[in-house]
Amino acid sequence: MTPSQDASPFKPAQYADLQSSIVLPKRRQSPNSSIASLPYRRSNPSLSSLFASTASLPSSRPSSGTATPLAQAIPGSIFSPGPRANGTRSPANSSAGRPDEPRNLILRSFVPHVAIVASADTEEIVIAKGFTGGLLELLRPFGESVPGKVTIRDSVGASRSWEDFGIRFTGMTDGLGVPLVPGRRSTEVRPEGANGYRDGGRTSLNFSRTGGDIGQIEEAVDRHLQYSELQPHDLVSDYLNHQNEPSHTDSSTSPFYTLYLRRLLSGLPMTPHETFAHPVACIIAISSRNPSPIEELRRLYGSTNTGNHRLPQWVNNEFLRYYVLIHDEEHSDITKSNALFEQMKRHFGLHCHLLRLKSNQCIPSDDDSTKLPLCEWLSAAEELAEIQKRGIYPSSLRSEVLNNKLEAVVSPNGCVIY
Amino acid sequence: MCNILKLLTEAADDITDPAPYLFDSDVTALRTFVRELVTQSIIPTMERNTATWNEQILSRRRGISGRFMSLSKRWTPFSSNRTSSSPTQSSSGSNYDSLQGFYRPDAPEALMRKLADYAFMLRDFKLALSTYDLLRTDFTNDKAWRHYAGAAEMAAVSALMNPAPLPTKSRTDTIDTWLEAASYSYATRCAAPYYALRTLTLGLELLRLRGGDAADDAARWAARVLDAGLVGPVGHALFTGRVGACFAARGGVGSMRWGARRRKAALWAVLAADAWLKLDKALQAEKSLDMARRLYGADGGLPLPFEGMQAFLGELRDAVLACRLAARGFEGEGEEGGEGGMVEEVSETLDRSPRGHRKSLIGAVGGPPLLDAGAMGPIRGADDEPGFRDDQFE
Repeated sequence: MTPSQDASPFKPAQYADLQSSIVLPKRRQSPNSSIASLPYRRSNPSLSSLFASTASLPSSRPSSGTATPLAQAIPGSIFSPGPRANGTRSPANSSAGRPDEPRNLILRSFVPHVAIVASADTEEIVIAKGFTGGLLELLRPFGESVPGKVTIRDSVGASRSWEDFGIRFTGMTDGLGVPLVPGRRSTEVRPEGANGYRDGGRTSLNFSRTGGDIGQIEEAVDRHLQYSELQPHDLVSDYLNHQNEPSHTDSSTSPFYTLYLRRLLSGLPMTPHETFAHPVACIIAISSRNPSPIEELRRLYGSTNTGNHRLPQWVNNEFLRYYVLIHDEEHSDITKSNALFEQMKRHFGLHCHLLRLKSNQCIPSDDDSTKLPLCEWLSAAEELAEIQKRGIYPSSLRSEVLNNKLEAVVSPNGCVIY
Repeated sequence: MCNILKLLTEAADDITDPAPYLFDSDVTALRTFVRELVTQSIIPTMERNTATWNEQILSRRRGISGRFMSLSKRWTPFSSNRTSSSPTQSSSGSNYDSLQGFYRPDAPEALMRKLADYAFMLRDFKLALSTYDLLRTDFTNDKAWRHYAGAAEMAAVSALMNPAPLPTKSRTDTIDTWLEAASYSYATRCAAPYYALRTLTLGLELLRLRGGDAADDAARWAARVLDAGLVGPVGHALFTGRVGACFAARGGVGSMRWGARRRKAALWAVLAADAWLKLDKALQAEKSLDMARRLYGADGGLPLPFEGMQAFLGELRDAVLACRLAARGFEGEGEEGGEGGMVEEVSETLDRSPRGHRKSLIGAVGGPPLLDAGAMGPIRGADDEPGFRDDQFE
């Protein structure tokens, strides 16, 4: 436990950038420095932070209490604080002593899904702020854990408060796994498609937010495994720490198993036989820049019933519609927006919200800047796409390593001895 | 030092990390928005829907006549004008469209499934369980296998999510049956391996948490994942390790830990090490191997009671080291001396022990090492191991 706490302030990039001088000084002239200079780690802190954040979410980290030598082995990848923690919280505290870890993971994986339909002007504002994925990208991390306690009354009227309640923001047709072509009969979206084991998803970027593909889950976890094997954690510190590790228990959970579990439960496909991925509510968003806001809201509402946002006929369409007006703090007049908002409430009832956002792009050097937290519940396909996007092409990883003068060593030794 | 490192790291992150930034005021606005959305709109709406469906559909289904009839039959007279347009409506008057494989969303079965799912998402596992259980029978009558599998899966999960203790009998009678039915239907009838894997995984994790006998069941389901070939190579290695973790979760009774499954757990850890090695994942293999040695009680250099396994462990250890060194381009230069020395030391401990003690062992078991360990009964395992060895590792 203590070793992993010690390791907690370390972030992956340290290992990437500083390992030669601080962590393992004697390595500098060794042939291994070629590994350190791989673009994979060295020039790519963002990639390592991705590996860190996807695998090391505070509340679902398997169990820091039962950390195996791996804790020291890949502090960057598994046990460092994700962006959510912003390095201020020791990751070991958050989940230590939570023996019922998989139960929490399950609790947090079957949560209400909320679809997002935004007007073009809304997406413009959000994209100008630097969120290329539009309103969904902006909202998604915030839905994963609702701040504060959420009180729920059960069927017999007893109330219970939960601190870990969350929702999943999705695109309207995300869970379908196959593109919903307008005009196509919705029933043609085969229920089997949602199963996604072999068809769809893999090539279509638009629908990579659907999970349910075992092959992709394997691939994503394998990517993390490869990364951890490549980390310059070393036999030395590994063994040293291993000797002092007091807290081994027999049932410790591998962080990679937890990752596998999480990816298995991420991006639940939309299918007729269960309704977890069916929207419980739909957010219909416009911005204060819209010239004819009420008409636009009506049009968007209509599109969820008959238009291209209409879900297949086996999805119950009577979900809540929630209307959001995004007020552009920089370019719009708040009194006008308030008036419009009052009008919205008159037309559409109480399920409305006025969301005030600055439309300028925030840059890291600004005083009051915060990095957008990374999503915990990425589908495996999304995670793979993210890894690719951040500069490493999956298949090239291994060959790159091998080409870097390791080949000669790897093959004659024949790692696999049976 | 750490602080400096952190600063440097963050600086490095800032330069290249493409993740967008937000103003604090935006963050506050968004968090407020989400909280309001959930607490003032989504939860109340879901609660209201649950109550309505519960009252309108579920209680009717539970009523006197509902007990003897499935929903479809009972409701058909009223819903015939809705469903008669469907060309595939089966003659039995069911609401299930067997050709397209779904219930219309306004059919009572579909609403009940939605009710059950809402209840589950609102963490009302009792209501969820009773609803899924009712749905199970209805779906069987309609031969809606995918729906049936889904209801059985979630019935088992709801029952296990309920924190109340579960009597052994009801666990074996109901939950095992449901898990079995769900995984079979998903995998065989519906060719939906993803859902089969999800069913088994959820089931085994929740059973494992219950410990005791349930952990044995958990291990069985984990082994089922492997047997059914639901996972690829990475999953295979992970789930192999998981079988071991399930066995290890079963604590023994009393100071001698009677009935613990330490040797079974250790064997599966060895198998996991083997699986990792096949994937060239030396680090993982090593972890599994360490786990196995701890479970066998061979941590402090003590010998194993069976030499075959001891030798096999040694071989695996060597293979792991070779693999790790190879992967790191280790060429044995002088500056790496410390590292090399450390490595040597560890492998020596292992090598030494079998040589020192091999002759004195009574367990002259023949055959391949894996079978030896597999034949070890749990009682014998606990019996053989002196208590003090256990004390070291718990």
